[in-house]
Amino acid sequence: MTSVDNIVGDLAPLPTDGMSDPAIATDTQEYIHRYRNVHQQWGELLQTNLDRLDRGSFDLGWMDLEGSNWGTKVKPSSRGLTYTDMNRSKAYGTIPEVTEYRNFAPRGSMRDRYADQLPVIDEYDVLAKMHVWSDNLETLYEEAKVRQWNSTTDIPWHELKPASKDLEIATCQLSTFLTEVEFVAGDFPSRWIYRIAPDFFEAKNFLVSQMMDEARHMEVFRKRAIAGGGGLLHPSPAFEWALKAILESPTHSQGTFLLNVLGEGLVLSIFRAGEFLSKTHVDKEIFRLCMQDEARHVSYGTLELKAYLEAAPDQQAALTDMHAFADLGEQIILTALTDPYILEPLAVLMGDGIKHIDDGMEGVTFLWATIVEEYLQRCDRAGFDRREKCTIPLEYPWAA
Amino acid sequence: MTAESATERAVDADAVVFPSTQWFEALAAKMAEQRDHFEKLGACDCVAQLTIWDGPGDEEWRCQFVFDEFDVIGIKEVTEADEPQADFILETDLETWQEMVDSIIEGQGQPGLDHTLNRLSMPGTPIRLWSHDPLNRDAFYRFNQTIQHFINNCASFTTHWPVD
Repeated sequence: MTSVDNIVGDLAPLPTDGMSDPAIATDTQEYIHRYRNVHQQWGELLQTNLDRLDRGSFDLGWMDLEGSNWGTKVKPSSRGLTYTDMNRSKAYGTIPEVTEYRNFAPRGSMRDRYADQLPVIDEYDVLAKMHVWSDNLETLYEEAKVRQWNSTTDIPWHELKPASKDLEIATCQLSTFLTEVEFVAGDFPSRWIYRIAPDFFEAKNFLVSQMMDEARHMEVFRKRAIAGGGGLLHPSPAFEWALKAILESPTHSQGTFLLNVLGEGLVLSIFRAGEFLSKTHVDKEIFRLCMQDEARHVSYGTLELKAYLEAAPDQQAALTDMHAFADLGEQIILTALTDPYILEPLAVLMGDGIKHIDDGMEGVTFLWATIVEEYLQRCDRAGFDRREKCTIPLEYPWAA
Repeated sequence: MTAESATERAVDADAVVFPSTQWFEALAAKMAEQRDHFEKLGACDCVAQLTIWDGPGDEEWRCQFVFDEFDVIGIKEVTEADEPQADFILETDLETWQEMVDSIIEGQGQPGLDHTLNRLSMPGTPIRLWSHDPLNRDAFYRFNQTIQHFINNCASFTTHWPVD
């Protein structure tokens, strides 16, 4: 009979000596040590399995349905079987306020009896529903799946004809800025998806759809900058500091507020403005399609903020903390919102050329007011009154 | 609108009067015929309201239409009291709507750069977009492409406009 020690001991070592990066070699040795000498359970399970095969006996324990949700019916709706349909059943739709499961065993499975055998994934440390949930999550996920588009084929690229050089420079600068933005909009959810416990898979799934949306936006604005014969232009240091602050938000709820309510709300208005002032049908199509995706993210952010503030054990403390975070967050976003690499290209596009940039600033003034007012409205909707506290000027601070 | 097209419309027996529920039913019928196209755009679920300030009899005219997945399943004239049932409301005057329809017809189903729904509503004028709930107003953004393509189908039939 094969022993655990033999199985593990007989494993051929990974060729770490051939690794050129010493850090990788060290990490690999540490990994091997951990799985050979610290984590013993997998080896014991392997031994049990080999013994069973060696005996030629079957183990049909998996046919035991005691304690399962066997027989629970879920009914598809007219549009198929959605998570909303699934979650109508108590068996599968009971979402814990705080989960104790830090492994991959699916919610609703017969996982309790395996509790002492299942591994603990230390990285799963977002264990409270209030940090990820929103009441529109399931609806938005379904919507995201069916409203995907393809930046390669759904944009009539062959019709793209730049209007004039100054307008094309402004368009390329705006596209460069939006390409930067989309990186963080995709990277922020990715930073958290891995940490969210699988019991909140609906949230993980929605965030994956957001990542796909943001990847497509990054792709389409990169293509737009280059396709007209211009190119990617100046990165914006001011904006990049704002993006860094979003990415490094201490909690998912704080970051979701900063990214999805404030940041994506701002970008949603820029997408609307982009469609408004597009000089080609190609650009209109791009902005309209991006606008749709962005509005989903803003909707999620708004109701995630609401759910967090309502579910927090100490609601007053949560509100106070979020206001303190918003005081700084708004200033960080203001750094971006005042940046010449963003506002001036918009003013050139709104003025229909560099000669009329002053006229364009009137449009920017309107856009600013729209961004701030819609942000305050969404905060109101979430039960987070920022009207007396907002640190972003309600009117554009432009001395014309 | 050109004089020629106005004349053409006046004598077209199949022309659909605007504003009327029939006009939106004609759009809904076209949407149903183009299911593949609207499936590609994705499911759309919202209640939209159009308000024309200077409707028949120079009174405000309100109509709500219910988007359900790939169809419009309900179109009805409503009153001000029904407004909370709409996710969002697009308010404008007859002239603006007529200009937009003319632009879509001229573009053979595609509005000119200055005549998309977002273009006309972004500055708050000539179309005012509003809602009782900012989250529901965002549905206009979330489903914008579908709503625009829904309206674009007005190029497939003749509209009869009220004569001053």
